[in-house]
Amino acid sequence: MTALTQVAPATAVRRRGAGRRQVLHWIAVHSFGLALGLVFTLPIVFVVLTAFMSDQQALTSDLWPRDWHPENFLTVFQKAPMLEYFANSMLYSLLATAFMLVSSVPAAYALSRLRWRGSNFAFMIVIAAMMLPPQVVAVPIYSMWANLGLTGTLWPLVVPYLLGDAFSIFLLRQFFVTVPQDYFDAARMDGCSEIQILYRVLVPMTKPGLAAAGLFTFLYTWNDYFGPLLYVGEKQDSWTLSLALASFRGMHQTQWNLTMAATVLVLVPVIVLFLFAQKSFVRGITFTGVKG
Amino acid sequence: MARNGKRVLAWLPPMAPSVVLLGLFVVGPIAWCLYAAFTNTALTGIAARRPQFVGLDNFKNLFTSADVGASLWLTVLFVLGSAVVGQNGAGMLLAVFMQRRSRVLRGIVGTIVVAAWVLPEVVAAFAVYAFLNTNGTLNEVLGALGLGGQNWLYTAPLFAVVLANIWRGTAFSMLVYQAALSEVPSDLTEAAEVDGAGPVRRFWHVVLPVIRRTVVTNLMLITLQTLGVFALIFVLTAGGPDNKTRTLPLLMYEQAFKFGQIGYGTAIAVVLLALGAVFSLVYIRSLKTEV
Repeated sequence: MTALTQVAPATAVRRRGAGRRQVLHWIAVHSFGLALGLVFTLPIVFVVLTAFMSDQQALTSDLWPRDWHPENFLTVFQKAPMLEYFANSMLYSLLATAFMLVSSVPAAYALSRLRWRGSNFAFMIVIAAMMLPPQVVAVPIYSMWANLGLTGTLWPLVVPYLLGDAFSIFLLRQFFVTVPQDYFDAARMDGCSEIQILYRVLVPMTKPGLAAAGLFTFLYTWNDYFGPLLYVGEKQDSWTLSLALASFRGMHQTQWNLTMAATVLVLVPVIVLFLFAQKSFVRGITFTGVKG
Repeated sequence: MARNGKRVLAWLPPMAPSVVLLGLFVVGPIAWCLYAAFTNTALTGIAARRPQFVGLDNFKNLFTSADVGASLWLTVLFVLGSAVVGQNGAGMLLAVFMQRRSRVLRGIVGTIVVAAWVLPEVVAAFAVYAFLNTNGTLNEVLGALGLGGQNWLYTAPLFAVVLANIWRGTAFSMLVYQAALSEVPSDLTEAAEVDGAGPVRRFWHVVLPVIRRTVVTNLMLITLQTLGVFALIFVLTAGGPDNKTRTLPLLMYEQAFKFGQIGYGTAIAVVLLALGAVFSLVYIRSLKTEV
């Protein structure tokens, strides 16, 4: 885990003399890095710049706004009930994240610490569920909610999290298995019940894991488009931001500046969250991929 | 082992929701899919109330329809191009490049690459649209270099969605490989260097065998993730032009939810499931054979 910050020392041997070559090497490496960074940021930069253009200029191939129109961001709120959509997105993401933590933490503990008949099989099913493309089971789950008369509401989107989320269970398990067995034995000696072990010993020790799982769930639901499209696509009151954003283009075909301004508004919370929690993201991904 | 038995009983309550989940949202639907794929279930009309068993009809239609064949082929190309070659290759290149760089450089490039990964798919689609359309950034840059531009989304739509998915998804592979590379024992690579192996041979013969398991795991994860990509394509090209980017998830959505052909749409979902299983089997086999 700490390995990410290691630097291999092999080059140190060669670093004698050859000052000029070293400078050239430094320039080459950094310009390559810069170019890579540019390639990855260019689309976003263009989105932000277009958001400040007039609607005429947004249709041209200009890269830089001739004059700046920060009022575009206010116009977006007049054209569409963005605050309502924002509230819907927040509700969906926060409920899903809270539900996930309540349900997946005990399940992950049971999978990581308890050997019972079929525990390996259960783990295999969790992995299979995690890897299933959401479209495969979309139809039957949709008809189930339709039969319950709950399509058009946010319930079909959040209730499944109350029962656990395969990816989160998997991720939490990956964190839980790193805790040495001694802690559990000691806690049991002291007479802790399993629930106490979970919430007094394990959870405080694996806060980064909980943070990562929470962040991934929040982000996944915040960015989700397929789910809201299926369940609330026809009911504009319940639209989430990503749904609203996608339809923004259709409604205001010619007004790319406004579409891009709305895009920036959706983008900002995600980027802020990411910058604050970058470490958790990186740790979460590393745990999913390497130890998988 | 009475004690063990008691412990299992103590654990049933916390596991129960997950068992319900797996039954309700995973096992049940898959079973339902496998059944509905053989019926003429529809979203509305008579077939919605009393679906009939139609045997292999859906699959007969499926395999005789040019649509599904084309869609299946597009999906394979999309996965190979954007996940197996694109994200995987670019992620590895980035990870190797960043391996011995200064903290600052790694921090900046890493943040930028991962930032693309956290974007909503809709936002990513818009950004790529802005980059690739007739008046987009790419044409502007090409124009400045004296090269003619074109509407990439029409002339090379598959290329556009592949590029979009690489741009958005590379961060995952990069982070996974960065972590894996840092765990390769440095005395191994140093020994190879002393023996006179160049950087390419060192990577191919020393580093790659060590991180092989991670590579396969990563390939499996990004392949299955890419099979489920929907919003990125739906918003960027809506499957067009001329259905040239209509991958299986889009085709399934169109048939089941837009045209109400639930049975037929489910049969497409089964094809998607089978495709994922084929990829997974190939990866798992590649772990078992050799070395």
